[in-house]
This record gives sequence, C-alpha cells and structure tokens, in this order.
Amino acid sequence: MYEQRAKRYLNSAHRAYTIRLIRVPQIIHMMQYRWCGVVVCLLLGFASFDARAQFATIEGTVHDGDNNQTMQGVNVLLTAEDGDRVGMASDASGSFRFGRLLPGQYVLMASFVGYTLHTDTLDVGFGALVQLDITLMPDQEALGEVVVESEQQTSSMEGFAAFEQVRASDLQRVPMPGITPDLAGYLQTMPGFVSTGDRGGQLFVRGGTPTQNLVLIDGMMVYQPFHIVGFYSALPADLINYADVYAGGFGARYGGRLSSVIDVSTRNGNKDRVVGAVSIAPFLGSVRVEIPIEPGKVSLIGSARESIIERIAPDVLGQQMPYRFGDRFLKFHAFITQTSSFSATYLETFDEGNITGDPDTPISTWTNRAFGGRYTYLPAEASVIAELAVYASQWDSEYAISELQQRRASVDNVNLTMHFIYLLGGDSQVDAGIFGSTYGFVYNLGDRRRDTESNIMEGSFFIDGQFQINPTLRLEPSVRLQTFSNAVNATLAPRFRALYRPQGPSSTQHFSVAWGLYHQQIIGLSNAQDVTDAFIAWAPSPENSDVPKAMHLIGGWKWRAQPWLEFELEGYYKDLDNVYFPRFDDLRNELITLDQVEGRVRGLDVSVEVNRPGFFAFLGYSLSRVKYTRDFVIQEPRLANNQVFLQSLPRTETFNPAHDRRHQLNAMVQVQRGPYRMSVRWQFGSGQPFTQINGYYETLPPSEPGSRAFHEQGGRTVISRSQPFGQRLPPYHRLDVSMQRVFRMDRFTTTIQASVINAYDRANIFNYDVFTNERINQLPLIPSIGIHVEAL
Amino acid sequence: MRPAIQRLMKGAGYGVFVAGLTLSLAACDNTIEPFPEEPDAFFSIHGVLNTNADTQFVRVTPIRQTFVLDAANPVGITVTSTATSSGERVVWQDSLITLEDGSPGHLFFAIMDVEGGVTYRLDVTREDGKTTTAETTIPNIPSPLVNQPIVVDTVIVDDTEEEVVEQQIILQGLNETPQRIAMNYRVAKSMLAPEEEIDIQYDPDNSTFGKLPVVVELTRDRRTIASRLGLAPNEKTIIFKGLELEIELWSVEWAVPTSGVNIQNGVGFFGAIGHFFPTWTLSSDVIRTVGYIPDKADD
Repeated sequence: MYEQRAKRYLNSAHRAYTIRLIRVPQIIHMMQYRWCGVVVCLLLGFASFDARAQFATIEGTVHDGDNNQTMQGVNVLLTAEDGDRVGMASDASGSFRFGRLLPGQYVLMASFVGYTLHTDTLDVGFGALVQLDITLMPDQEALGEVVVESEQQTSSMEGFAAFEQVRASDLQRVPMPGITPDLAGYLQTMPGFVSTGDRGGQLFVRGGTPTQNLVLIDGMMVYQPFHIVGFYSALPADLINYADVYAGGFGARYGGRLSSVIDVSTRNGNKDRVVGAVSIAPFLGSVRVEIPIEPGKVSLIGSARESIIERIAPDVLGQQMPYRFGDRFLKFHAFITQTSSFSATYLETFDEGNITGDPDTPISTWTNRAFGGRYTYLPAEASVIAELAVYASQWDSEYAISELQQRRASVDNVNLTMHFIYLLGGDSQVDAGIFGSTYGFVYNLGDRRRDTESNIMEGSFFIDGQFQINPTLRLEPSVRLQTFSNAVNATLAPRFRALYRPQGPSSTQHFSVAWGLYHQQIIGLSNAQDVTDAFIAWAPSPENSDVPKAMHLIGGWKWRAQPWLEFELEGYYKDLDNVYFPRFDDLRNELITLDQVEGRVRGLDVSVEVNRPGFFAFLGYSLSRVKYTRDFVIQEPRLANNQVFLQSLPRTETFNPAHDRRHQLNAMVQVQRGPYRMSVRWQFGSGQPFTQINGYYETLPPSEPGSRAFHEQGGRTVISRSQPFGQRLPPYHRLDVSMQRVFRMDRFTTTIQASVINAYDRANIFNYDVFTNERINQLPLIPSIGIHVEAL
Repeated sequence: MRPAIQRLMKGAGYGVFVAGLTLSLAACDNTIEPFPEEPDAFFSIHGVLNTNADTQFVRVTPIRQTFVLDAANPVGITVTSTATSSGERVVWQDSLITLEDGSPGHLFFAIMDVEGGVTYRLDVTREDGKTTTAETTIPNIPSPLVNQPIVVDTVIVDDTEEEVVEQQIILQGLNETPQRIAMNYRVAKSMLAPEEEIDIQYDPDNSTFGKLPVVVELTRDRRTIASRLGLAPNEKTIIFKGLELEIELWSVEWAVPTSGVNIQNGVGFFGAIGHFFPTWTLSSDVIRTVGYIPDKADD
C-alpha cells in the first residue's frame, strides 16, 4: 500500500533544482537549507545499502487479462508462515513491492472486484529478489457492476480528512451535456467546491480562490485547468487513471498553493493492441487512439477534443454560444527494464470566447501547454524508490476589453524533481524530495504601459513521514522548505495528519485530523468582482513582503454503517493572511490596486452515500462562511501650524467575498439496469455576495480654482458603490438528467446518451453588469444527444 | 388493490411530488437587487466657494439608477448653505445649463459673499428628505504687518547712482500656505495716460508657523513695470497710483481633491478659495526714491 502512495508522490512532484546561475549570497542562503536535503539523501542511500544486505524483496506488476493494461488499485496480500500479513494496492503503473522480508514461505493473493482471484505460494531466500508478472482475468459474472468498484478502498489515504481519490468510473455518475464525463463536472458535486457557473472555468475550494488551487496532470502544472465552458476540464475522463483531490490539509509533497490540490494521474496506452474511441455530442467531439509500439513494453496514447457548440448552437439551440475550446494529449510510456520505466507527456489546451455569451463583450483567450518526462527506478534489492522528472509548463492569457486595451499575461516554468521514498516496512515510509523551478512572468494589465517582466527561481525540499504506529493509528508529519532567488521570503511549512481507526483496518469508523501551514509565493492576480473576466496575471509575490499564507485545521469522521451506506462529516477552519484582493475604481474594469487582506474560512461538509449494485445515491451539504478583513488607510487633509498635511486614518472593512456560498446541496442518483443507465443530479447553492451600487453620476476632474470645468464640462459617468459585497445574488439550482444505453459487439462498445442540462430551465444568474443594467444568465435548458464508439 | 396498480399509484405520487418540487423551485425568487434599499449616497456635488466672487456656484447631479443621464430637471431638490458660526442660511437657486457635450446640467447658485475663516455647510436635499452634506472652511483673512521701506543698497545704473528700496510685509494669521502671492501696482505712463494694473508674482513658499514675510522689492518691481509698459528699465517718468498685495489661499480639500472626505452621503468635490488684498500707502518721498512720480492725488 505504501508503494502506491509513494507513486502518488512521484506523480505530484513538480519542483526542481534550478540550473540557472545565481548570485553567490543567494547560493549561500539557499545552501543553508539545501544541505539538509543532501544529508537526507545520503542517509537514504546508506540505509538502502544496509537493507540490501539483509532482506528479501517481492515485487511485480499486475495486468488486466482482458486488454493487458496495467491495473491500479489491485489488492495484493502477502501472508507469512507465522500468519503475519501485509497488504498493499498496486500503483498507477500496476506495480507493487514488499521489501525488508525475512527468508521463508509466503502466500501472495491479488484480488480486484470483477476479476478472478490470483494466488501464488513463494519460497523466498536470504536477500532474494522475487519478481512477478500477474495477470488477472475478468470474472464474467461480475462484469457490468461497475459501480461496485467504488467500494474498494484502494488508497492508504482513504479515510483522511479532506481527501478523495476520484476514479474514471466515479465521473460517469455526473450527467453532462455530452457523451463523455469530465472531472470538472464531478468536482462541482463535491462538498466545499464552488464554481462560478457553467462558464469561465473558475473553481473555489473551501473558501479559496481559483489561483490558490494546485492542478497537476502527471506532475505537470496546469495554470488554467478548466475550459471556458465550465463542464469540461483540460483532460477527457477516459485518460484519467485517478485524481487525488485534496480540499485542504495536504502533505508537504505539495506546495506553492494555499487552498487545494487536484493531482491527476493519466493512464498509459494499451500495450497489447490498437484501441481507440470516437465520440460526438453537441458541445464537443473527441477522438482517442492507443498504439502498442512494442507489445507489452512500449505504448502511445493520444487524444484530441474540439468544441462544436459554437458552430451548431445558432441552428440547433437557437442562440449564440460563442465558445471555442479544445485540448490535445499525448503520452508515451515504456518499461525500460523490469524495475524501471519512462514516460513522456504532452498536453495542450485552448479556449476562446465571450464568457457572457454576448458577441459584443470582451473576448477571453487562454492556452496551456505542458510537457515533461519521468524516469522511475525501483532498485532490485533496495528499499528505496527513486524518480527523476522534468516538466515544463507554459500558459498565455488575453482579455480584450477593447481594440486598444488588451490585458495579456504569460508564464513559463521549468521544473526538475528528484524524489526518494524510503520504505520502512509494514505500511510506513519516509518520503523526501528536492525540487527546483525557474519561472518567467510577463503581464500587461492593459494600461498602455510596457509589459512587466520578472524571472525568479525557486528551490524547495520536503520530508514526509508516514508511520503506521499500530493497526489503529497512522501519523503523517511532514515539513516543506521553499527558498527563492529574489527577495521573496523563504518559507518553512510544517504539516501533520493523523488517522485513527478504532478497530484497525476493518474499522467502520475513521477519525482524522489535519493541520498545516501553507504558503503561496507565486500569486495569481484576478478580478474578484467580475466573473465574466477570467483574466489572471501570475506574478511573484512582491519582494520583501510577507507572502500569502494559510493555516488549515480539519477534522473528519467517516462511518460506513453498512457495506453500502456511508456517512461522512468534516469540519474545517482556514486562516488566511496576506491574501491579495483587488480594489477597483468606480470606472469600468479599472483596477486601482491590490490590497492584502486577511481571511477566515469556516465550514462543515456532510454527506451520505448509498452504493449498491445497480444503484448509487449521494447527498452532500456544505455550510461555509468566508470572511475577509481589509485594513486600509484613508488620507484626510488637516490644518496644523500653517500647513496642510494629510492625516492617515486607519480603517477596517469586513466583508464576505464573491465566492462565499453559504449553503450548497448536491444530490445525485444513478440507476443501472442492464445496458441502461440513468443519472440525475440536482444542485442548489445559496446566493453569492455582490456589491450593490448607489447609482451612476458624472464626475469631473479636479481642476484649478479658476477653471470653469464645473460649469461647462459634462464629466465621465461612473458608479457609486455601496458597501462591498453587501447583497447576495438569487440562489442557484439546477437539475441535470442523462440516460444512456450501451451496445456491445465483439471488440466494440457503443454508447448513446441523451441528456438534458438545466431540465426545468432555471434562469440562474451568471453575472450582472452594473454599467448596463444587464443580467446574464447561465445556460438554459439544453437537450443533447451524443454517441461514443470505443474499440477495446 | 392489485400490486401493479399500487406501484403505479406510488410512482404517480413520486411524480407529483417531483413535479411540485420542480415547479416550486422554478418559481422561487430569482430577482437581483442591484441598488440598495437604503443607499448611502444621493448626490454628486462639484463646487467652490470663492471670496472673490459675489455669486457662488455648485453643480449638483443626483446619483441615479440609470446609466444614461435622462433627468434634465431634478425636481424637488433644495440646496441651502449655512454659515455654521452665525447660522445664516441661504437658499440657492437652480439653473439648467447646457454643457459642452450637449447634456443638461444643474448649476445651483447663490448671490452671496463668503467670508474668510467661516465654515459653510451645504445641504442638498431630495424631496424625501435624503440629504447630501458638504462642509468647507474659507481660509482665514491674514492681517498684514507693514514695515517701513528701507534702502538696502546703492547701485550704478547708466552712470547714475540709484538706491534700491525694499519693504517687508509680514502676513499674520495664516492657516494655509498661499497658492499665489502677487504685488498689484496701479500706474500710468504719464499724467494724462490711463491707469494700468500690473501684477508681479512673488514666491509663496516662505511661510512658517502662521507668518509669511513678504519682501516687496519696490525698485526691482519698478524696472519690471517699465519694461511691461514698453519703457526703458531706468525710465523714471511712471506715475505711481497705488499698490496692494494679492494672496490666494485654498481650503484643505484641495490637498486631496478626489477624496471627498468632507462630503457626507454623497460624492464629488466641495472646496473654497480665499482671495485677500491687503493694501497700504507709500509716502511721496519713498515713491520718488523708488523712481516713480507720485500721483497728484498723493501730493
């Protein structure tokens, strides 16, 4: 089980050594921290040498007998002669490893729902390495009950607060306006996740902002991971192996963000035969191809999606939907030897459109490009897993307010990662990683000034202990250190997680707690008031100022009352400091400055889940309160000693920002009968805050006393804002329904899906433009039908 | 009842429930209130009280709920000013003007003099009693302390010895730093020529702790005046008719004109300007020493 977790660490690694030349004092400054990492690595190396001399190892890979794909999440149980047992789940590449074994006879069992049990008896000698290649054959009687899969507890993180591992089969529960499910749609059903609606691609997690979410795809950082139509993420669901979603309280392997982590691991291409899929629906068309380059060893998987809706909406739906988006994905994977593998991934996304749906409004465009390679090495005799990875990410964004005024921003970054996992035996391990990154930022906020450019580099180190103290208690202390090449302050972030299972692994109840400090040195500056403006400018935190930071405290309780019935309750508190929040002028889209605010987020997530063969139901409720406090100074002219001076008067302003959705309810039901499956989702969200306006007026420029401007000039029309975020929008609610039928024929599976988005045509507000008194609603009732053909 | 019928009725019951729930949800309140029921700002006002004018003006624009300005005549607005020290209240008159861009504007005016050192409160009130209030204090009238002119130097100009005369004026009781200081001279080229006013700027930045010493360079100014009259700088036939010091003071609101901190329940700018003209006389001897010819009236 620990190896699967180790793999996830490897997948998420995205920091790196920097290769750039830096000034000597900076080197000294950074070395003060880096020597710790060097020492740890050396210790790990010596320790592994010691382990190599004493213990045996059993390792292997599990394949699906149906398509020869590696299988993640297979339960592998090893029983010694004295009855001691140790278990784990296979990782993303289907691998498992039991190290530090004494000589003797062992029974190994590999099981997965829907597959026949594999059993093997192994005689293991002193210092031996036993390598296995296990193939699980599908159990025909169990096929078709896909939903049962979720009952498997495949992750050692299962039960931890604020964590959920999402699998591709989970995504299919959410009705979508098309044939293919998507991670974006699923995330919006998770308690504590709030979206701006069905366009714009902004996701707020437990009081955090979209720029405080870390989104990784195979370890590559994706800066704007959702498409302009909010149903879709940057990656199609059928490429996802699993996604680790942390709504907070994440460990030290992740850094650089304050709020949440969405760590997506993609699957490898089929190494046995050519397979693929084609789908088309009103919103999106897609194609996927998997090619075994060298059977059993090397594969390639590629995918392309392209929007259709902007072309067909005027004729089919009778309205303009000017959204163009799509993505391309390519992944190469090779088993170099039995103990090493290499993968290379490329991802590209593009989005363009008028978020409001009105062709006369400003156009937003953004593109993500990311590519990288990862080499994983599992030494045959050692209890250490090592990985080296290099990633590069690029992101460009534009927001054309007018022909003359265009905001632009881009980020380029390269990451190098070295990661070691030291297996302590049982279900304990210590992870350590060193990351280095270079960043290049360019942005122009459209004020006709020159582009603002900055380049920084970052070095970081983490160590993360995961200790199974006894069958009931698991502790995970960790710490992360990050340093920067410019004057942005270095940060040290301790974190802690604990899981208590009163009856051990078989316990039906889990109690967990997570605490941690988080820092975000690379900040995303966005317009927090206008949801139709998806523009973000990324920049390093200002020099010599305190970086944005957060403290998370999360407590959770999970109770599996029946094998098919689960209750979950989580409470959380986040303390935010130095968070940047925009302050606007009374002119349209005129950003005055960015204030640093403090925030307090409190919330409670409750959910109940019923998961029976052919039936799934979920009900989740979130109660949340986000409060920002802004300290600012006004300058009042005063007279004293024959001088006019400006007296600084401190003021404090407290408000609930626009993403403070106080109540949110998600209900999902999925029923499957034979080849038919019906999914229903209903969402409710209480109104989000917005700033009312007192009204409009004309302002005149301050002029010389002799001027007659007051008498003659018309002035510029501006708005007078009322108390910030003092009123709330109407509540949001929507019903989505989908029905699908699956046809199987030899190697081909055809799925036809009919769906209705916003089934009772609720006019949910998306945005209100105070300058034009114009209300823009979210998508109306949209019926759709799609077809998906897959060659297995 | 047969099970099939029971199931049908049960299903129908669920259907009715779901349909009712759907209808009730679809019908629930979905309106947005962009404007607060109790706004905290009612008018924008832009105006300046000026001690140098006998009519005061202030532009008043209601803060409205439509982006397009369509209210040509804001009926029912009352504008009053009150001198806070004396309680004297003046009701201002409305005048509809056409602005440069062709849009209508409401310029309220009051025929009144404003006094230095006095605080005036302006109340702009709607029919429903909602009021925007602004307050400004006219700069204090400085009191001049006039010293005797003195000869500070003797110079040779065109082979003729000439005495350089200066006179120090100390302005007392200043609250604000003057924005403008000038000497205004009344002179004529000859006895029969018309009187002309010539002003010469002085540096206003020498004030300290409520006092401003102004050194009036009478001889230098006479040369400047001769030049402006088209005469030779050393021409000594100019008739001197009088002089005064001009001081312009701005109220504190000008320090941050966009702050609007002196306006309650409204926005804009409301300030004041104080123009003061302390005057004194020069003796005939001093006038001649400076290089003028005294006016007959002074002889």
